[in-house]
Amino acid sequence: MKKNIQNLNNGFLDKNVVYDYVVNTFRAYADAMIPQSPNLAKQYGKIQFYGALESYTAEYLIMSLDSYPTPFAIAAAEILNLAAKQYLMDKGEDWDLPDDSGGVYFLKLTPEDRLKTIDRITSTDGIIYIPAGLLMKPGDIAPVLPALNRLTMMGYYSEWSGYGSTRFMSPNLRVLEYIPISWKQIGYPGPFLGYRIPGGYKFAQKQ
Amino acid sequence: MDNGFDADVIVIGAGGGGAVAAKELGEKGLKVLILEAGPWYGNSKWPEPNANAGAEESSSNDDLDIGLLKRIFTDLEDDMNDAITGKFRWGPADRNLSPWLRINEKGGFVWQSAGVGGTTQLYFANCPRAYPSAFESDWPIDYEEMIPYYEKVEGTLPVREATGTSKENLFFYGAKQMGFHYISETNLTEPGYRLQPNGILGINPMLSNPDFDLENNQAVGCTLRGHCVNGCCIGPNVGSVAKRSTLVSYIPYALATGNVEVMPNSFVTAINTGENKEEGLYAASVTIRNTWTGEVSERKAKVIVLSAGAIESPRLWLNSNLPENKWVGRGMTTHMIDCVSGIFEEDLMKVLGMSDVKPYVGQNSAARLDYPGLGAFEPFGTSPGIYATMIYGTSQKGYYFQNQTTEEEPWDREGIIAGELLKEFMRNYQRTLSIVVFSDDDVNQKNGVTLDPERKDENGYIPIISYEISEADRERRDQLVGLAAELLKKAGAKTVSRANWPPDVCAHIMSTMRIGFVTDSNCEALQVKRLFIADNSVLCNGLGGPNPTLTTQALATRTAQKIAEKYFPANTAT
Repeated sequence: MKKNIQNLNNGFLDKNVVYDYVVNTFRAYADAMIPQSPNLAKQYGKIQFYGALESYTAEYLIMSLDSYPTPFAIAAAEILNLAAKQYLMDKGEDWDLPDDSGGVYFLKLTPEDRLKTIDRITSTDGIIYIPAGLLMKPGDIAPVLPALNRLTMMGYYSEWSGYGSTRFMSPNLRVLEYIPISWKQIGYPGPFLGYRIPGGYKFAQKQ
Repeated sequence: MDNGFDADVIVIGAGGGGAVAAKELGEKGLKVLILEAGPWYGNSKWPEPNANAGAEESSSNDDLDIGLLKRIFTDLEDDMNDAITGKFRWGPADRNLSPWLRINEKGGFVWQSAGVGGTTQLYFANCPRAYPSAFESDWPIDYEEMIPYYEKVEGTLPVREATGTSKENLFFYGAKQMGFHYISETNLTEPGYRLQPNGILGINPMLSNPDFDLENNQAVGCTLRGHCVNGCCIGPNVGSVAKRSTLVSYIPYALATGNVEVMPNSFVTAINTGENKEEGLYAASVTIRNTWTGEVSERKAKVIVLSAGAIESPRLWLNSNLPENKWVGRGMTTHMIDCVSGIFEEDLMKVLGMSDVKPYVGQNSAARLDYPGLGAFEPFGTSPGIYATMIYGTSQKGYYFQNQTTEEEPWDREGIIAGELLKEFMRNYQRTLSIVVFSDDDVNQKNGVTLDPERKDENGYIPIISYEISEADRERRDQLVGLAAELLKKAGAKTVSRANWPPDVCAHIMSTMRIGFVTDSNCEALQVKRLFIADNSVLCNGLGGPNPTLTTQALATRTAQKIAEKYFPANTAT
């Protein structure tokens, strides 16, 4: 990926390679946050298997980061990979990825280590991982990084994945095409117009 | 107007405070122009408020359209509350444009919405009064003086006792197990639990009738469907929607006076001053930028009311180069909000007579426990995306597996819940009770809003929010969060998690333009005559912990009266 970053800096940009690099990085993160769960599936039913990958949560993150006044997705992916490389070095592990790896160091980490890496870059001294040569200032992107955890949960547990073929369209054009997997996993019935219990309510008692 | 003014009074911002000031002034016969940065939902002059510029202004209740409001408020939480592209966001009406930037230095975020109704569009509508003890320090007015204004707002919204569902039953059960008592006073001096005083209309009486057609519901009243936060649109017309955001209460009341005009999509980028011998510096006009066209214009009035919210009000002051004041933007309080949540097993039956809590059912928060001296906390529930981000996705302590919990701590884990545990916990969504904790934080001049020296957007230099918690604040917060966690345990929770939010999360943003420090006791700026402040920024402190909107609205009612008395004496006969 070194090569690709240089390409980027030279303004010579191979869009597909950059896309793969960014999306693979965010998939590795989203998968750590909301993984596939064979164990839960065994215990509670097949639907529990699915995670962020099936619901395009990484793509939601990229779309969200690129909707800020300064698009952040590429920069955030670079930061995650730089921090991951540092993390591997600190642990004394082999960090020198082969040329064809795409530079996605983040993917090389265990899910728990990916989250520890995220924690490093969102702490106050995490600012050192912001690569030189970015067009934006560290102060632009540092406050955005803690939002990743919230965005991941919003992307996964809200209706967004149910927008199906319209999910990447402008927000005004999205149409809910199906019930998100996440709603089925947690028993959320979706919006309804009123809540009634036959025979009336037993309202909260004062004493 | 033939006196060279565009209105008697210009109000900047149609949120929780500005709408109240406008209605009160309009009722006194004053011509009021409200300038609102965001869209106007449910007004037929903006049939596609997020897609097209629409009209310039509206001044009549005839323009309000409940059918349109129902189409826009989709109950879908990403559509409504996505912080970046949602209909409730701090950004322009055109959702293809980026949100407006704020920088939270400590990892927090600002939960605030532009638009007519402002953040009350999405608030839980909880309307407790401040603790009387909060007025004992720094406030230039007495608590007793506030009471008639509280009563007026409570009668107008109106505020009534909330209706609880199972989450409140379970919360009360836990509170009782801890030895707390039910309290029925309004002006609180002792700890206790109660149903929220909230700005939500009574329950639709037809709701328990199984034959009642909810699809074609034309009745007035709350239907307990759990979308306070995603935008309430339940009611036969806009003015009688169940949750009383100012979009459906004070704005329609203001329009009904025939004296109030509202211009949405109009971001005020400067307050312009004049100077004369008698008054010195005074507010003369405002500069507006249309968020669709970029067109810049100016509006003049005799008096200007600043109600842009506790971040934008100081930002506008600073961007307008108004006189230096060491309290402008400073002294911010946030209630250092935190969340705890507990998961219950199916033996919930014994307590509730049912097998789950259903956090998505009922008013988003219908009960509270007040603890003067520490703050307050309340059970809450929402649709799952917002719920997950609040209880599991926001922390200053990293991920749960990075934190060791000590014996003394009443929670079982702390930090962001991730991985398989997140899925396991969310699988128990239906049996999760969560509590949001508002702690009383001291005013500290170091905390608040400053301008970035370099970065600008189309509205001026962007605001930077810095907030640090003091040792005394932290102790109060930990104590109160501990009580909330203990309540969950006492109610029977099998496992309890503490989020530990960054204290600069801004959902209750207060005291950045403090009464008595930036303004006089009438909320008129000390250094700029004819400029009044009527939003959360003018609160003198964090009120002891209670949700701030009602107090801001009571104070705005009082401020409107003071404006009329001082500048329009002919209109104060009543």
